Amino acid sequence: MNMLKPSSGTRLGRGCGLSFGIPWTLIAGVFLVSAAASLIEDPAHNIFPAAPVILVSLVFVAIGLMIISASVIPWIAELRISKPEVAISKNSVRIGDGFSVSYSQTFRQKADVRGIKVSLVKREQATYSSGSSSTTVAHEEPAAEYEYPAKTYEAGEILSFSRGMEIPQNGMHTFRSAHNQIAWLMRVKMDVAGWPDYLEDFEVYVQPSVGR
Amino acid sequence: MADINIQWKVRGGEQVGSALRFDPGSPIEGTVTITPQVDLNCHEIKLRLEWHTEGRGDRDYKVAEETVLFQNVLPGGQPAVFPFRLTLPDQPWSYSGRYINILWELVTDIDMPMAVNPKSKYPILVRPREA
Repeated sequence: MNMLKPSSGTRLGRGCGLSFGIPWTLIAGVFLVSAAASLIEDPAHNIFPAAPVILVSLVFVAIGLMIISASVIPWIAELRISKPEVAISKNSVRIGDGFSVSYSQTFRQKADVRGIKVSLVKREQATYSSGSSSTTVAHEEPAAEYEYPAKTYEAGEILSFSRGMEIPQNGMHTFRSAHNQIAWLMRVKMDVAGWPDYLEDFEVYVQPSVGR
Repeated sequence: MADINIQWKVRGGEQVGSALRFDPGSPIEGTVTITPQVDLNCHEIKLRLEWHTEGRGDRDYKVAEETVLFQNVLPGGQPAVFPFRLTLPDQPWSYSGRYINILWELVTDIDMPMAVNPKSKYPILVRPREA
């Protein structure tokens, strides 16, 4: 069995959100506080310069809080569920190969799971530069999707399943170059009532050879 | 730029559309015939096997193999035939996707002093036969 690790992209995105969102919110917060302080100090004279600054700062603080929330919510989801253990039956997966995925995850608290979707996705990721900025775009094609029914899990209960999957015969192997990447991901999305969705990608490295 | 006629003859492979398909890891061989109209003083004539990406992302590029076919003066009006035999690597395979295309080609690059290098490209497909 070959243990899979969560795709670095998932966690990197959360980290980037926090490292951008926190300074953004702090800077906007400084403007908000200083404008509010000057307004409190002398409302009659400072109303005109302070009010527009407060309004704009409030918008910026709200945007910053949204960025932070989007980064933190997945971690909150993980408070209820432990990190999964994911393994595939082969050490080396080739085009056209069938393989078995074993998934195991423990619930730390009672959770009402409305549904679980497991998919095998081919992801193209391309990065292009324009001036001094660079942009990354991605396109995903699901090769297979499986759904598991709703169930209420008690604290300590283990979600466990095993599923056969296959890299399509006309598929492409994993490819990584400086600006372009093709990856195969096993994606698990869990809809938990009252909590943010749990979403995790696990990369399956596909060799450039054809399975028999 | 000098008037040069470059012709390819590539053997083996399987015709797929307008290109020849080769299995990854297999040899690729053929000839390049170069006919300059006048005497051609070239530093060297190089043959490259290379891939590059096209699509939304910035271009990635790699030379898989390069060989020098000739170094000297090519006499004008006489076809010079250069046989070659290269080995394709195992990856990457030719690919056509939404944002990424991977294209393979053979390139003849004539390195001329103080002039734009004349080039000729021969696109190929590198991927296994589809089941």
